[in-house]
Amino acid sequence: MSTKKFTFAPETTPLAGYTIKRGIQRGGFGEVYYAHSDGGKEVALKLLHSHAEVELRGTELCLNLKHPNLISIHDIKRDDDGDVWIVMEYVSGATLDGVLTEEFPDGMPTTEVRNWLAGLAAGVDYLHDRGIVHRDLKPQNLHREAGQVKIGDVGLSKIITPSQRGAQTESIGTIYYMAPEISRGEYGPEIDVYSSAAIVYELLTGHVPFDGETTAEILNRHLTDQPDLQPLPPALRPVLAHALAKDPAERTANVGTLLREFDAALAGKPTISPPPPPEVVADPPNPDNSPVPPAADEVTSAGTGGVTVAAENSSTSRTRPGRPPQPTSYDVNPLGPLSPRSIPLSRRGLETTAAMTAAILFSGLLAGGGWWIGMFDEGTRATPLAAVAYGLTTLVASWAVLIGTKAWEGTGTESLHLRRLSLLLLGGGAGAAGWWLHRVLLIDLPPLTETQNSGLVDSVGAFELVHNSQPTLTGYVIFFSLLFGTRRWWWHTDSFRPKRLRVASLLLTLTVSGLLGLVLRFPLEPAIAWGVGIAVVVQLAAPWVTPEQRASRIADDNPPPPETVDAPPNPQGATDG
Amino acid sequence: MPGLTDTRPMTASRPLPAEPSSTSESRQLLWIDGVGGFLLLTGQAVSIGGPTSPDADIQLLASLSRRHATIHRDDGGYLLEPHGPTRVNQRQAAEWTELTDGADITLGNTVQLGFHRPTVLSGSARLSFQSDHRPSHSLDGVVLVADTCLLGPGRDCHIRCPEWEDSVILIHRDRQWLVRSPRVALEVNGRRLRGESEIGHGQVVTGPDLRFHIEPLKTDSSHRGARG
Repeated sequence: MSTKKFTFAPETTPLAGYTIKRGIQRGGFGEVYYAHSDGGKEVALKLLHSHAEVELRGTELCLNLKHPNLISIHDIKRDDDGDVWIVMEYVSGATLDGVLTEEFPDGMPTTEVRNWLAGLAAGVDYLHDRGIVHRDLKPQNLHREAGQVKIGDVGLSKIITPSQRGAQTESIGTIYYMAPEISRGEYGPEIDVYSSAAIVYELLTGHVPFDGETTAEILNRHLTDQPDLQPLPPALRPVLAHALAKDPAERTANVGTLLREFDAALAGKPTISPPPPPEVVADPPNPDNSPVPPAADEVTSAGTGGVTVAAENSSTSRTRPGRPPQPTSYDVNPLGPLSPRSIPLSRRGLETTAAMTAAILFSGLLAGGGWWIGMFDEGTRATPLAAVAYGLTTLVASWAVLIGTKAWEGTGTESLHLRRLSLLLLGGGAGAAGWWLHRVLLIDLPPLTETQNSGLVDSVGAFELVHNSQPTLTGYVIFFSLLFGTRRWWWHTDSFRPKRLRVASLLLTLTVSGLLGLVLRFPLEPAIAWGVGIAVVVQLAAPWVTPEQRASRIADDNPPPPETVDAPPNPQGATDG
Repeated sequence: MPGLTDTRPMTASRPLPAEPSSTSESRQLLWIDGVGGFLLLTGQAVSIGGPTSPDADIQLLASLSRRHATIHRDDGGYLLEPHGPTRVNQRQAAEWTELTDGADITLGNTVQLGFHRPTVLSGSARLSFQSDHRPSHSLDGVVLVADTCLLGPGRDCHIRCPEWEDSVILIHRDRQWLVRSPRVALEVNGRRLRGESEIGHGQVVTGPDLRFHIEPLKTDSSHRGARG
């Protein structure tokens, strides 16, 4: 911005009734002055020069909009020379751009980002509700005065009607915040969601999501590159990936939803930091929503012909000076099984019963498959009943795991000991049920292996673990108790587990159940078959939410917080323009 | 700050006649393109009051008494004299409380001002509005001018103008306002400035990337709307 180019001198009255006191800024669309009316009202006067027709049409539509988060337009006037002046509310606070540069060159704390996002969401959703798209959201257009976020340049908005969508051929707006579909001439409300997400990205990291040397390069990156989510707090990565989706249809529906997903992701913040489990997938995969890459000539034409506004900025890097972004104390873990969250009783009940029903199917398939490959042919009493006994025991044990883990789902890390204890008890019950089933159906388990003839543990107190080379009731109870108590089964059944079915955890369960069999003198084959079988059944049966959908799931389960902006008064340095 | 060492000695170090604080010359509005509007006060004592106190040097739209507090410049330092409930750095202000750089002043329950002495080379200080209470028009700050008021990009300036290339000095001497800059080629009303030049109402100072002017704060009570 060069101040020498202001057309009108201070203390002049180019527009009758208003005395100019100073210039505020010069932008692509005109000059803005601070002025006093003859009656003493302070206003911002915007003199339009380039693109005047576009802007004028927009402002006429927005002249009578009223919202606390929008800078209101008092009037549109023509001076004696025929130039158009927009008389606007004067906002004394610094722009978001200034706040970022002066106070937070490396990004803001999430609470501060939330304050800006909340005001932005309220104002933009109000506009969208009235069928108007802002089209030029950027930090330079956002102000905060007395804690209230104010969106400026509402005059660029266009009425959205199906017939007008796509009719506009000229690309306007600042390129760093410009949605990819704008290069195809599409101006739906989704472009404001994209711009808002790009702003939130910049607030969190201190740099824009897509930067480049030239306008065409930045445009191209909006069209084809996935945003680098690494500098973001992990919990917010899926939220911003959703809102920065290339395809407007895949994008977060509106800015209010972006705010709710933002809040939900941060609500998943663990109160104590648990050691990250080794199996956790570090990064949720990017949503596979990139459209077919546009032809190169399409990109070029958009970069050279269509975009006329942002060229003056295109050579300056938008990376703010200072250190590279670093993970800070407000980093949170990705949403996982240990993320505390509230789950309505109805959802908890529905998910548990649905999983238990599915477990019947998977246990049956497992037993049938085992029978078919000859798993139960060994021993003297090869009979289909052996498969039935195996399947029923697996089912009962899977139910016990599902009940025991689903009951504690969403309770965070403080309930870990209780989770283990309840699983230990449920395992005992499942073991007793297994013993009883095999007694009733007269099924013997395969004999112990050679190495097991001298097991480490023969009995617990007065109770033998093995009698006549078959596990006793005690043997069943102890084996299943320990199998349930040693593995972290909530990582198998939680809706937020890293993957639906993880082979690595199956192998670990196989090892644990084998070791338990060796130590407790429990027949090895059934021990491993039950350990792996239960692990497979519960993982297949328990519902799973993809990482991208987790934030909105939490948002669904938790009604949105009140939309009030409780921002503290913005401390203004004396020099903030 | 380059160029400061050859300014005149600090006002506070030489005897000054007790100025009546309400002469029009002692209260000026400084308007800077792209930066903001500031009130320049040259009186040895600066009074702060609410909307019912037309004589206060800083008249805030705030629930304050007519004369709520007075800031005195004394021996190059600043002392606050409370007349109404006043806290400095969260502590109840004594009869005379010294103000140091970075002090927080709370008037009544809600009005918060910041006190800044950005450079020891000048006896001037700046008050910033921390709460959203302002005079009847938006102002971005108040400079208590002892001798000089430094405008420029550095943190040691009384008024920060982040996009300027170098600093400009406003000098208050013998009831006159003067301007000069060691590095910036300035013009006053279009005439090239050599050395220092007096500026008055209606004269606009311009440089390659800056423009500002001062105007006396109107004291006519019939035109209170223009009060700073």
